[in-house]
Amino acid sequence: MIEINVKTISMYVKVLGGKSKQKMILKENSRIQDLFDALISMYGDDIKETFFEKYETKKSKPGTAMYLNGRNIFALDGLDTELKSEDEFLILPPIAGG
Amino acid sequence: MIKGGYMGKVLRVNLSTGKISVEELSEQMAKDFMGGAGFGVKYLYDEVPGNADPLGEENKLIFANGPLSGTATPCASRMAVATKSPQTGTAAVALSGGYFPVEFKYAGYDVLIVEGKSEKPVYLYINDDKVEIRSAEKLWGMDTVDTQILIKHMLHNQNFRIACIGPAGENLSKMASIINERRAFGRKGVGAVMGSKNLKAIAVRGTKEVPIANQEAFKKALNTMLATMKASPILYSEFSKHGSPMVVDACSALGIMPSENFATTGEKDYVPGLGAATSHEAKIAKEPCFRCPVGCSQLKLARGTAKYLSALSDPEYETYFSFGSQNGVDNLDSVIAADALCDRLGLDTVSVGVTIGFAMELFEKGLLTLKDTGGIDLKFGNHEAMVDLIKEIAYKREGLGALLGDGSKVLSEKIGQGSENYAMHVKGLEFPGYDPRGAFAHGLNYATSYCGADHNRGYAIQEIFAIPVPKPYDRFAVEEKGWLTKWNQDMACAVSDCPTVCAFIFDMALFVNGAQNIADMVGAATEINLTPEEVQAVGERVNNLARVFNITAGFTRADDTLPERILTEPIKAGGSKGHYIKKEDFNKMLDDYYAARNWTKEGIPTAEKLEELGIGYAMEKLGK
Repeated sequence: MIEINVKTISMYVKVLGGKSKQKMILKENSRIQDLFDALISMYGDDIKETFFEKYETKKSKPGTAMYLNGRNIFALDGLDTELKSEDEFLILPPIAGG
Repeated sequence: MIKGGYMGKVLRVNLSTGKISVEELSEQMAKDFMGGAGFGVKYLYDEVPGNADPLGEENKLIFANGPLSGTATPCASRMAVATKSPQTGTAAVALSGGYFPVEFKYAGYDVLIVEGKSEKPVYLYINDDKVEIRSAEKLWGMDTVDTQILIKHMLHNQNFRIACIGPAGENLSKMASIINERRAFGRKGVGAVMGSKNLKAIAVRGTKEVPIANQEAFKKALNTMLATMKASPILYSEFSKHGSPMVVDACSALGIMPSENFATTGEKDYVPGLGAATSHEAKIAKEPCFRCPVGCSQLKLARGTAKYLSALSDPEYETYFSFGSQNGVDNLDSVIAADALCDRLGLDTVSVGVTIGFAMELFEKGLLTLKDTGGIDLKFGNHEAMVDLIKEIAYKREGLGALLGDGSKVLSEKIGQGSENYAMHVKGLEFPGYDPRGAFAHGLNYATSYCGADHNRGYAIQEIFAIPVPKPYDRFAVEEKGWLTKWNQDMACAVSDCPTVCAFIFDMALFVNGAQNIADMVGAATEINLTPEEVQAVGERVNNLARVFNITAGFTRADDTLPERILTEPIKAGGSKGHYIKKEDFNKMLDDYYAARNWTKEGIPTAEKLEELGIGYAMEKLGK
């Protein structure tokens, strides 16, 4: 089994069970898609609606940012990116400006 | 002949001779440089020698609107001022929103060129066609708030809009800004150039209308633009409520909100003290720029800390960084007070905050002593000392004020002892609030932008907000960052700096169709029809011409660099832990950037590139 640290901020905290940080236990060789499946089974379909235009097509909502160990997952293999133990998965809501 | 969008006139005021003249704006200028920063850089290139003394009579201040300013276009409230910067020695632009910019356009002009130097303090009076140079001897010494109030009283007319300098500009601080109401032409010491000319203020009243060449097409393009803004997942739903300070939360999560002069980035959490939730509690009202349906500028009132009670201001994210985390401060009231004081005294908040943070590190390292500080315990976190120092900097007369008054580069030159390794500037312009060790293209923009470490000249939205345009990027990757930085710089210039439309709406709504949007809007307003590629080429043209100016000012590849700290010290904790830009990686990115620009390995534009952009004449200044 592998342990993944899931983090988020702001309005997404509520969707992820009111936790800005949490650990998820997954099977070896899991991918980010598996992590989302696990989160959906814990917190329901709100996860799909909040983060994705259409979950089945793996298309995230515009403005939603996802990082694995600080790297934009869509510059990696998207939801097919493989996870390893102690990875940090960060989801940020639409934020811009500055 | 220009049919719309522009007023068609350039107002030229020579403060040495007192001569005031009006020239026609040429259609070729409009086609090639569009407006705003484009006009500013072109006039600077044509009329100011690269080796001019920035605070001498030869330098000029060129204020320019874009073709959409003053039309029904949302968020087109802005204006650029271009000059040779006393802080960087480069070509420089600073842009401001507010109400002064469009008032100037309504007076019937697209450009104001201020040249020469007055013997005594003056202000410029512009009431449509009536333009006069008037005495400002009574105003000299006043802060920017009182200056604006008093000029309106003197004119018996509250409808004038005023841009002015405060004591910092009068005292030629290289960090001086030009203030209009609460908005600023903030960076690169443009206020010092105004002070060097003994020009205290520009007071404008305009009653004309901006003509639109093709009303039907304009309405259609406008509806498309408004619909795109409405569809944004950020613009109205979040940004309108929280403004740029919500970036504190995002940059903290990514581990790139710089802390304590970039020495402890990622190690301390500033979200509880400065994040969106705390910031929102201090909000009392919006203060939108002209014709802005978003209203990101948010007034905040200091109500918690006795020293700052009643301070009122609208600090942006950059100021949360510069007077917050950069100084190890998480007291929001002190950030509000520092912002208000900088506006009042006419100082750039980013440069001043970064310079004070640098001084704090010097103090903690023992390179500044209690004797130097006059007994002030200038440790990180001392927000009271931070706020007190601002006034000393504006007056530059003695002690720490004199030492810090011209910014980080000058301070490090005075202190020496290796302090230049952690003086956080490029070409003299202090870093904004993003640690480039966690955003490599953003850092490459700091190194290569034509006016030093200026985030707005090529903001890497792909790295900081993961916006996938033109495609997703890994913020720590070296590959393709040269091309990306060029793309960001040319686009920012073309869709924001030249048409003088707020950059935020492109970051948040129009990132996919930014160039198309400007092509449609400007095309309808002016009937100068450009393709999206030609719009982008305007940005490229401006960036190349500014580069040629900088080469004539003596800049070389060696100046396109980053402080040693960024190139050698890994970030120790947080979301960017372990990362830094290795020197060999930086050099690779720089090589790639020059190649993407079709510049030589030494960073000199090639004849082929300049000819392609229709500015082959610039080769003459390169000595070829």
